[in-house]
Amino acid sequence: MKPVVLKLTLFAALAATLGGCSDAIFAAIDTAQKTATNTLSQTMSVFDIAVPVPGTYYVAAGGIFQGVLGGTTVNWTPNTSTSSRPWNPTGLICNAMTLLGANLYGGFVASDGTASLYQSSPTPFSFASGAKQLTTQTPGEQVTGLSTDGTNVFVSGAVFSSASNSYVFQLEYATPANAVAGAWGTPALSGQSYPVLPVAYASGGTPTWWTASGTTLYSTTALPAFTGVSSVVTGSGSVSLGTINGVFANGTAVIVATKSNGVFYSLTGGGAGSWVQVQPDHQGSVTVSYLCAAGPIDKSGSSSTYLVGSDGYGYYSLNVSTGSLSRYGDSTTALYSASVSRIVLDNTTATPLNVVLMGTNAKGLWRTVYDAVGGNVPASGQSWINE
Amino acid sequence: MPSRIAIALVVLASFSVPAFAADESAGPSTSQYSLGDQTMAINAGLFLPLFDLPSGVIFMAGSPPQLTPGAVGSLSWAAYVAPQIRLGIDIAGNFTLDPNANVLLMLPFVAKASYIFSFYPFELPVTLGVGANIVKYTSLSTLDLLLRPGVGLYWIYNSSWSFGANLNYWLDMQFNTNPANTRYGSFLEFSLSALYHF
Repeated sequence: MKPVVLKLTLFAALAATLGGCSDAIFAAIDTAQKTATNTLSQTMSVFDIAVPVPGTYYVAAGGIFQGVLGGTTVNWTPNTSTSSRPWNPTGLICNAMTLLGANLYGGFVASDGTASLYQSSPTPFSFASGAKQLTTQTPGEQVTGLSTDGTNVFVSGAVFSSASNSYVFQLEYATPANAVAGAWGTPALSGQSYPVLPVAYASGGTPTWWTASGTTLYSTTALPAFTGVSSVVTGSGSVSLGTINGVFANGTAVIVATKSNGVFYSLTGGGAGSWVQVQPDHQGSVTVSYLCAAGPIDKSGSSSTYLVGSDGYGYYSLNVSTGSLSRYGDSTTALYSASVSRIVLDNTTATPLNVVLMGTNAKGLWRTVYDAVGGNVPASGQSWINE
Repeated sequence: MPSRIAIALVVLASFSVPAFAADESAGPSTSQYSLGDQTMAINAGLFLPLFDLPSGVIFMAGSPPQLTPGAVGSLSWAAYVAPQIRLGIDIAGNFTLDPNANVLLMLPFVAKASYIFSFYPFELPVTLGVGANIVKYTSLSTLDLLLRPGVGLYWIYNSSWSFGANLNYWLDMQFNTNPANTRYGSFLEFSLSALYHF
């Protein structure tokens, strides 16, 4: 029996040396929390986000999802627990959405490619019940973008041209009443070779409407007469914009996000010489492309911090006081390498509703609380939530 | 406290009172086993997560709890090295669930030593086990040091079979290169047992 004793002793000794190789399982269990089931798909692509009232969100991602903020969580309807789409017209997927007044406007596509434009019902903003299908400016026009200036709804559309045997792109607008009546008028822009971006409205100073198509930046102080430029005058002279991915305006500030030439901004309405070019970040040999902008975040502070979404590198903070871009640095989240195509602020200073939402391509919707004074995103003690 | 010590001493002393040995119908009795006799047992029962140190987390507290009660099963073999001492090994498996129904799985391999108190027709083994515990949770896995003291109570059915129950305390020591993540998890096992002597 001595060999048995020896073997058991050795076994025990071996066991006693264990403990040098260990994942922190118990530490993980200590902080484990039940995962909410009423979440969105974390791989969905977000086309648009609307905030009709603080704390209530509508997200267009094929399906339309309504989120209601309660405390620190958002309850989504529908969510990953169901395949139903209660807000969509039957069989239609939503690829564009904007809010004007008491209605949402949505661009939809059917499985056979048929496009349509809808005005939702008033609260609860459904396109499935109580909604109106609107006639587009051009029969068969596909909605590529929707935007608003608070008075008109702007439809960026694609129309097939038999002359060129290809799609051409246009922009038209109408008041809600005229939109319902189908009275769009002549397109403000037509025959464009590239999609017309959603209109950004700078309401401050001399009110100006901004949009872009390809490498041309369009603006007007009196609809519908847009004029276009492919370069802007900075303090260093004329600078080519290159391909424009997004235009944002707030007050007298205008921000243009470009594919290869960084971010351009003007704080005084875009006059000659008022533009500033912020050179793009480089990640290795790749020039970061920028997609969208929103802000200012620090609206209760210096109002100098804006958020800029990038293509594949998360988001950046644009400081217009220093003319600098700095990348969100938490590489442990999927947002760090996401293509952020939509950024929306829940515009209230009442905490906890200082919420910023970011829609991405194929990495879902992200939410956090921002610091409206210091301009930090996330605010101290907060973290990004992948809805 | 002094009264508790006194009671404990009385209980311990009662095991060594020679007078009991004179009466075969009650009290400690001579073991019928000797060097070379072996046992095999199969055990199954309830596995209760208790608490985690130094975090102080009570596993079954909260709604939902950090860990739910689970199940445990084991096979053991032992050999007598003396009429009242057995040495053996134990292979077990158990599972519990976290708040998201993720499984915490443990597969310990334990070397154990038991001292058998005999009160015919009952036996009361007091056991100390030391071993390695393979722990798996989601994508994490670890090999921990396990201490497992316990006590059992068996009814001797015949010379081959005994049936009873075990109560074991599991102390799983999970060391980590980051000291902040080092944990000592405590668990309780209550299992029914069928023991075969051969």
